[in-house]
Amino acid sequence: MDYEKILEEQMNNVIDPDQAADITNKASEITGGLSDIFSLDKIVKATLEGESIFDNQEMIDSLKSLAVYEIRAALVLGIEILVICIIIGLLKNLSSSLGKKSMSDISLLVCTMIIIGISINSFRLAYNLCLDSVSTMVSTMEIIAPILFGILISTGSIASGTIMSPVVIGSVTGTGIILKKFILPAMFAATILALINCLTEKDYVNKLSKLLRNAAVAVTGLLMAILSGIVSVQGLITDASDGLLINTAKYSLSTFIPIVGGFTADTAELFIKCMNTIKSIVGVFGMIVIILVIIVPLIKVLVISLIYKITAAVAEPICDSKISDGINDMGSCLISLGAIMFFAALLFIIFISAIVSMGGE
Amino acid sequence: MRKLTDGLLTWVKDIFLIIISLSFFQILLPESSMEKYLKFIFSIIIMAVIIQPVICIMGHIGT
Repeated sequence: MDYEKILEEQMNNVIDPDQAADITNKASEITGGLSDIFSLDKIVKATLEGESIFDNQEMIDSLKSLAVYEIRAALVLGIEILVICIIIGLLKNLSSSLGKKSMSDISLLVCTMIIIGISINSFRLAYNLCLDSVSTMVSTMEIIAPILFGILISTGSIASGTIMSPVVIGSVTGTGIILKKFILPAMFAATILALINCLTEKDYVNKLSKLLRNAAVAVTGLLMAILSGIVSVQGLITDASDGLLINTAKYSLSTFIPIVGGFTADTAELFIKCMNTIKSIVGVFGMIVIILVIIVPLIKVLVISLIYKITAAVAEPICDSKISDGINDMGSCLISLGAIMFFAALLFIIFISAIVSMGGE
Repeated sequence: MRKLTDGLLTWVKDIFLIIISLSFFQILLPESSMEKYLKFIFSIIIMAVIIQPVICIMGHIGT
């Protein structure tokens, strides 16, 4: 019997194709079809034949076209803002000849509010995309983690499976709720406050916006440090105890049972190795889905923030320093949003790699 | 949980509206000796709106 057949048979026993299709569909919705390049079957094939999975011109092309598209869309936004900034500069210089101070003040306020409106609109698009990508990452983890733990327990790592399963699934769900209910809304609030701040001559909410932003990033970093620490350390301990158990079982099988004991031990080892291969395949599939789900919103957010920063730099000589500061802060907020998503994705990838590296030996 | 998120957004909306309306008022005010005091009062109003959730949370903890 050859190993490809064993692998495929066990693969079908372990993974429900509906669930795999579910993950792929959700990921493809967010990434706009980018994730279709990596299906579970292709990864299995690459594993069996020892091919590289990232050696793919199609992927590079679609990423490039995505980046170009986003840059174009964001450039329109930047030019709109820049035009309004030029109008503001004109109004400011003309205000002395207009005579009445209140007239020019009101027109400045209206122009600033138009800038705020445009910015909030584009920010909301990026924010919703981030929210979607976080939900997809969490649901992918919630499907992948139980499969991985099932495989882990079937290879004999009982302690790892039973102890790590609630820890990992609990922290994935908890991270999802904390991100969606507290951290991302706090980032939204921080961005809006940073924009409001450019309406008034005096700083009213500048520090408040910075406080919210820094708190959101700090809480995400702290969450990542604590959870990944717990999972890796606990994983090491349970893995050591499981290794002891498996090796004892193998040794006693081959030593104490006469004649057939050796064959049985070899068969058991082959089975465990096979299951470990499947575990690696499923883990890699999960990691790739998470990376793809993160990369599309990340490109969008970073491109928009870059455009905001450039617009702020270009607009500074023409208009108020207040307005260019506001646009600059908005760019920083978007970068923080990207950092938060990146932290979350990193946490999930650490979880998967911790589970994949567990057990078997 | 839902209440908390909504509360955060309402709070930001309140700050937004209060700052916009007060800056309009400031523009419409006639120039007089009272202007400085009025600006101070406006700042106090904005501060009150900003610390409103803190007071709310303190009240919940107290009961």
